[in-house]
Amino acid sequence: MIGPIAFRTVKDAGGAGGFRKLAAGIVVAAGFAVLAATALSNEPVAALGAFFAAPFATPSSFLSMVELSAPLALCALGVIVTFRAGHFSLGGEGQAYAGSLAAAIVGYYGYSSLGSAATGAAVLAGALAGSLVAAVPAMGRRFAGADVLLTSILVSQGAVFAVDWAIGGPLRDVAGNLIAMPALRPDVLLARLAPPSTVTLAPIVAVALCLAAGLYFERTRSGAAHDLYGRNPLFAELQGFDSKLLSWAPIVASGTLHGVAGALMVLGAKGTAIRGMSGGIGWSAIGVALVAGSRPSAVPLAALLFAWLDSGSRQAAVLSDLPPDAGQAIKALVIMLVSVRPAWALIRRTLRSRAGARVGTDAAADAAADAAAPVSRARGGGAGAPEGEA
Amino acid sequence: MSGLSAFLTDAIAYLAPLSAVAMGGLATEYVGSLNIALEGLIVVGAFSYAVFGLLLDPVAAYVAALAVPAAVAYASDLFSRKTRADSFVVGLGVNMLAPAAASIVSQAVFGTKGVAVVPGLQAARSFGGLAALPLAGPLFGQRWTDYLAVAAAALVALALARTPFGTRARAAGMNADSLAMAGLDAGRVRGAAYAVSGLACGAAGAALAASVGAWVPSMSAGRGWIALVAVYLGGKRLGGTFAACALFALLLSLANGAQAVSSAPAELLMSAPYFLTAAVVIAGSARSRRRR
Repeated sequence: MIGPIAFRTVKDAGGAGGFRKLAAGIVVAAGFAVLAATALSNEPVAALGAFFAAPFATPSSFLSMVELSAPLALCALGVIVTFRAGHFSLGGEGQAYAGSLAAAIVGYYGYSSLGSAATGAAVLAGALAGSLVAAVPAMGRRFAGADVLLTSILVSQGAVFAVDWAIGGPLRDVAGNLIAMPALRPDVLLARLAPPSTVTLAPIVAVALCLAAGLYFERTRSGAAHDLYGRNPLFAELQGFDSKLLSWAPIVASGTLHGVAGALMVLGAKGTAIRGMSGGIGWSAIGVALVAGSRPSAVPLAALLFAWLDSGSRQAAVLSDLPPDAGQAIKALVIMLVSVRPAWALIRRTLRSRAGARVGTDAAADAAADAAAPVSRARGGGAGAPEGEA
Repeated sequence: MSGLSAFLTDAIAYLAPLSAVAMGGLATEYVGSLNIALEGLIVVGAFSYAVFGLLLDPVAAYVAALAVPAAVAYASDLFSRKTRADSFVVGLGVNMLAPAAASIVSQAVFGTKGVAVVPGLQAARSFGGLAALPLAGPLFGQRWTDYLAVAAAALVALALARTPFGTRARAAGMNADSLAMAGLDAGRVRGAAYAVSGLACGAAGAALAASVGAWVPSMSAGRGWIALVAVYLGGKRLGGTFAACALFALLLSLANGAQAVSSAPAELLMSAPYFLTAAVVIAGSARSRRRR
């Protein structure tokens, strides 16, 4: 079994420090964007202008970026739901991809019988497909005690191959050059709220679900049980919580959210199921969850940050010579740097120490800072020793 | 070459890089840390082999393919230790950064983000003449980089099982304080384990790039994750991990070979080993639970 310590930062049951991490993420991302434009582009001013300004230049481009963030936010919410229960499911990629395929199938073939109700049916189908892919590791955990990390990766990889086959094989639109299913009818797609932008209801759904999840974790007994199970399953059981349910339900719920995210991709900007369309969303979602400090209410903004990095780097690649992969590299660096947790304690200690020096009370300031550090840790925002040292 | 011989040759070609990566993963497991970045480190190794193969000669490229991922792995561990960042998250970052950085550098060096063929980079089948031998033939039908990947796996296994480094690594994983009491720095042992892990992934990456004589984006094809699964499936033991790698190699080779003789779609055949292994993991867990 993989111990809970290895995933402390993302799991971070209690979800404190979300907005502080988010602020750090924005600063770090902006810093790396400047560095990337300076180092990788021959026209850094144009690259920077495109990176920072283009996604916000018009209401349409901004709203399209918001639309891009919605599936990512739902996947990140799924990550938080499962990680806060102590289940380290890494199968989000396959779950979202399966959700996309199922939504496209129902949306395309169901239109003739369901009419515009096919949209809702497609979302349900996406949710169901994501749940089914997640159900294998969930049931393995519930009835066999199988390690979710292993089974979720394996089933996800297998699902990705299977979906690749379906899209590129029997369901492929042979008339097109793209390896994709036939485009869904416009009536089935989610209505665009502010054309020419691609924005639909998806971001509103994502924000609503994130807020609901925030209320669940912070205001309900079930949410507290969920968190407690993530910290100590035995203790949760001794407290009378339904540990059997918590041993599998969060994994399936996470799969459902990933599946809905996949469905929204199809019904939103993509318009059909395209081979490889998940594009690493499962992994990016873990980064979003981290930047949000595992706090659901911070997820929409964290997802928007990642969407900005994607959108900005794409715009910069078009309007200048900045490599389009710069955005992905910056995302990776943001994830790594935001995980540096004790930096906050160090910065606080340094600042207090300096303040103390000004009034000639260095020792008192150090003692105060030292005393503050455990408090910070107890709130969930403090240091976590590397697992090798734990 | 007979069907069985071709199948075994293919299986050994799968096994060589996979066993190296798995042993690298096991090295960090010994120090009590999950190295989630195996996938990214293979990419770093393969890309380094291709880039330095273009600029220098294959031997220097191979050395670079070992050194660069070892340095990246060591640096990532140093970063997570010194800043107390979660090593899982740092590993995730490495996995995301490696392909993106490779793509950026590839554009600059090869002039393309896609497949870059490097003349002279494809490794020779050094004992190819003996590949027709009955039974033992598949052992001789491999490229020299595959043999080196197996050698890297064997060396890491030997280091873990039979040297003071292995004992210290195990101690660091079990109880770092005991190591400190013996006057040893657990952090340095952990750093060395990560470097070893990176080196093994580099050997695997070089073997992959050398098999086609080119840099191909996503050429790691999930081997890092499979190796990680093999480590856990093998109970974090040397023999068990190797056996799990052998099982995967046979399954993947079987899926690959089935494409030639079956009309079943390639993607479905390639998905089968993953579903099958998930079933094995669940069945094995159920059995262990019943025993307890």
